[in-house]
Amino acid sequence: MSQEAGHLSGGAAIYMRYPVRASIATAGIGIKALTDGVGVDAVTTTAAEDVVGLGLDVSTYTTTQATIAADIADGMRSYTGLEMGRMVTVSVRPDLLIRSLISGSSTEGTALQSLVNTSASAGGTVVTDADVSDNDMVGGIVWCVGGNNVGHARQIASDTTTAITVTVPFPRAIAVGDKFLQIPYSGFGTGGADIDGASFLQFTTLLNQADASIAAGTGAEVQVFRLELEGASDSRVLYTFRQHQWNRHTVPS
Amino acid sequence: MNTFIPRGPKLGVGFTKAEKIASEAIHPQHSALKGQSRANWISDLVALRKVVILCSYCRVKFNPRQAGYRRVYIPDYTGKTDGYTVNGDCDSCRVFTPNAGGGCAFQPEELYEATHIDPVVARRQARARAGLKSISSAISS
Repeated sequence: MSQEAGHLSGGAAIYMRYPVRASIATAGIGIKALTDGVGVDAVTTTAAEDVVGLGLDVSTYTTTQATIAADIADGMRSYTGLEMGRMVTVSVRPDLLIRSLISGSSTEGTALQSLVNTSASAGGTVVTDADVSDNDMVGGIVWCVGGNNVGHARQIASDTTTAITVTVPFPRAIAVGDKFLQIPYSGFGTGGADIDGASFLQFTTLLNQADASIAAGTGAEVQVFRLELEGASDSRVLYTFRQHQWNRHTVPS
Repeated sequence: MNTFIPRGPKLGVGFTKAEKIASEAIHPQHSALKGQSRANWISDLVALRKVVILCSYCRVKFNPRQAGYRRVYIPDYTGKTDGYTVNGDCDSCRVFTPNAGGGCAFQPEELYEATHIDPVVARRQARARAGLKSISSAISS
């Protein structure tokens, strides 16, 4: 799910309806403009350019001409839904904050990989586990969900396939058996190498959740606003679309 | 002879990309069938499980519970609205809702959780994570 979680500048949302270029199968996904003038379409898992906003309902695209219903009860006419079905309602403010559930894979609702530390770190800087992601998570976040440092999070400074290292140590020693979670997102960073966790996010297959199994700094163009770091199945990321159609003045092209 | 001059700050300056996109937005009056009543327009929206947008005047005429809809809540970080204000073109009277005291939107129940936050659920979950008791149980214990 990707929810409307407010606006950076506050105030009320603005909803507009747009014709669709292709069927929109899922509610709560990014909607983007296209160059063919037919209508809007969903973003892809790895790109969110020329975004119009967050889609709020589903639509079926067809080029069949609408048929007026023969049954005109009470003097009313109807399109039989065909014409109205070809449009999608979009929340269009460029400062919209979108709140997406974090998934552990491209499949929606997958729990994050739990890391169980296998080597003590008295200095509180190294988390060791063979289940550390093979992808580059530098610039992302690791946080403790079981053991000495529950509730504490650190940005990942370097990683291998078996260990994560942080620069600022966790407040207490990391013991064998302590549990951690990792994601490729961060609340701050310029987008440069190894500080790119705040600038990109890859969507899951249905486009309505964040796929945390990919490398930091890859995926669609967003700006992370806030992280809700909870458990493996209920953590969320809040972000805005950097490449919003009405936000071009802030976007390097 | 008709002469068409593109709109812009200077003569010859055309529409911006943002203006072109905004012009593609569908206004109800351009989409409703000739002779189609506004009530029929909204009932078709409900049948298709689309978002319904209403101004402050028309909002009282729509029964969301009967239609299986819920009023949309979006947190307002400034607190200037109560979170239930949404603006757009009213599906009933067609007014742009900021011109009619603000509007609101209704989302089908089955789609609500996918797109919007329920403030009651959000607070309950936050309190559960923090291990807090409800006020009534704290008093009685």
